[in-house]
Amino acid sequence: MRALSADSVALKVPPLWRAVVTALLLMLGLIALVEQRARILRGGTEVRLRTVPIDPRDLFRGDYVVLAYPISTVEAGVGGQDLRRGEQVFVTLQRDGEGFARATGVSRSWPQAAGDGLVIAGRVTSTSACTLNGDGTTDCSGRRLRIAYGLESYFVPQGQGKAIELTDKARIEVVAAVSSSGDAAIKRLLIDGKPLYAEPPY
Amino acid sequence: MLGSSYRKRLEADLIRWVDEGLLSAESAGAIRRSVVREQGGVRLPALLGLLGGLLIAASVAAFVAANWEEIPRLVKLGAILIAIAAAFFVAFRLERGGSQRGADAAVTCGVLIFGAGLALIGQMYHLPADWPGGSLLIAIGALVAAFLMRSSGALAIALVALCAWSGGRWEEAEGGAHFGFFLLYVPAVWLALSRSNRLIQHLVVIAGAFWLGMAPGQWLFQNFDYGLLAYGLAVAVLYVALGAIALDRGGPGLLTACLPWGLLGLLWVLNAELFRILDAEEARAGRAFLFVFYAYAVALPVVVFLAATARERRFAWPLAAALGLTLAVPAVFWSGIALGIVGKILVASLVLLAATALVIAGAAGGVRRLTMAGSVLFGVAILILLWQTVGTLLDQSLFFLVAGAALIATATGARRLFARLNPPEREAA
Repeated sequence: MRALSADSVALKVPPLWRAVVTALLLMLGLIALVEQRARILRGGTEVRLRTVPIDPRDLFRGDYVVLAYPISTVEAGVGGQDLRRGEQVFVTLQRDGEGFARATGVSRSWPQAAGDGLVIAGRVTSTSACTLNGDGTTDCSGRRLRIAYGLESYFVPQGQGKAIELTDKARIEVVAAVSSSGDAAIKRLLIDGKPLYAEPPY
Repeated sequence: MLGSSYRKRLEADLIRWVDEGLLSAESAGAIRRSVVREQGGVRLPALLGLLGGLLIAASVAAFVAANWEEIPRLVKLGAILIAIAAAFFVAFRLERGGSQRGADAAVTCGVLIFGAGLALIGQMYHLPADWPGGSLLIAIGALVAAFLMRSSGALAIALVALCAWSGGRWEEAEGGAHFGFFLLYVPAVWLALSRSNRLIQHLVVIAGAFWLGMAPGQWLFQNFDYGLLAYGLAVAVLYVALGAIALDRGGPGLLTACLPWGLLGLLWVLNAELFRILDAEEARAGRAFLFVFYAYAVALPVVVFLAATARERRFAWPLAAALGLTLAVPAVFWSGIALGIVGKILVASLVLLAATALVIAGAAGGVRRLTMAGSVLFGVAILILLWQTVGTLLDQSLFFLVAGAALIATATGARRLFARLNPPEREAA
């Protein structure tokens, strides 16, 4: 029984090796996060997104802007009726006349017939989302999903979040990179089509 | 591991025993030396080291919060990686030098820097704001460090991060139990079984209770149902019974750590049950949903096992009786008589009897926690009964008179009862 205890197993390895392996594993974990991000930015397909920013302040992580997109709210349609909160989903995107992305379908598995559309992975955060009509009224009819794609926050130097918030939302757009597996990352933040922040891979 | 309060008590006893001639000065000195050996020397340097490590980790966290733009982000990333490597190098040096506690402090610091580093990378590289995901990574990193470096501090961080991850995913899904919890909880329990650190044992028990609390599903909490109290009561009974079995049979410290938390839950829920049965609005039965049956199906056999296999029956039998009476309280609500005077008298009697049985078990077994829990339960129950009367004041007076007379009768026969259950003289022989 004692031979199976965690400490006896660990003690079979010399202390130097244990320290080196632990430090390396923790460091590699952090590096892997950065590399995963860099890979999306280097090789992902670019897609333009309209945004709706607001500005909370994270006590721990400094200033950041919270971004919402028209594709954050998706009609459940045929494939999304039984989706639940917390589930991973794949949303098919098509480009409109101005080149901005709009969601055309949502499914639990990778869509087979995406055509020339782009597929982005997200997670359902609500199954009863409302949408804003063109006349400013809120429409809560039907079943709409709120989906997070990992593009909802963008950290800016301290104190600059407010400036972005005060900018007319119609003037702000995001260019995101989407990998072949659907993972996405913000590549550029633009105001009036001019880059405000551009993300280097590292 | 010996607690500092135990050492102080022992020192006072040693002086008294030597004065009374029960123990020679040499034997007292030998006991003191043995205690020091078990204690493993002075803890102060390791404790100061841990505090220093925490301050360094806090410094990294503040650095993250400042979002310092002057430094290129690759340099910031490099600084985090170097800080992690430095912490583990110090841990290695200390372990090689024979200071396991110092090494533990350095590893804890390294894991905290890893956590702060995750936040920094999230900020610098605009990673999705997924705090449960971040907690999962911290929990995995801390578990690796706890295993390889034999660090209790890292294991404590892992347990907290594990609960944050599981709670976050449970909250996101708005569903039932989050079974992914066990992927990390089982290795954490395995690590904890080889540690004598009391904080770790309590954290493992609390983490288990945290999962059991979430298991019935979020919808039950959103639409609160009194069935949850029955579930909580059964879980608390299970915890107390497990702790008592471990105490009775010399089980692992991990199980004995269940006892105080079980007692805490028992006190809280039993008093809540008593309070609400005396309130016409709140004396609703509540649904016995599936998890209540699960909890009862596990708790009842464990209580029976405690009573049937007890080594010290005069401790285990009254405790098993207290737990049995506790489990009967929700049954009064389900029977449909809760709103009448009979239901009120039944629940009040069950709670007072359970409290008395806890005091008896504590006194007979020398378990102060049980005596204290029973006394507090008894005291609070009397206060509730005085505040929210059972029927009229005259009924109330009669109730207390009968209960008091029954207790005095029990006290009179207690000595004979204990002697019959497990004569201490025979045990000593």
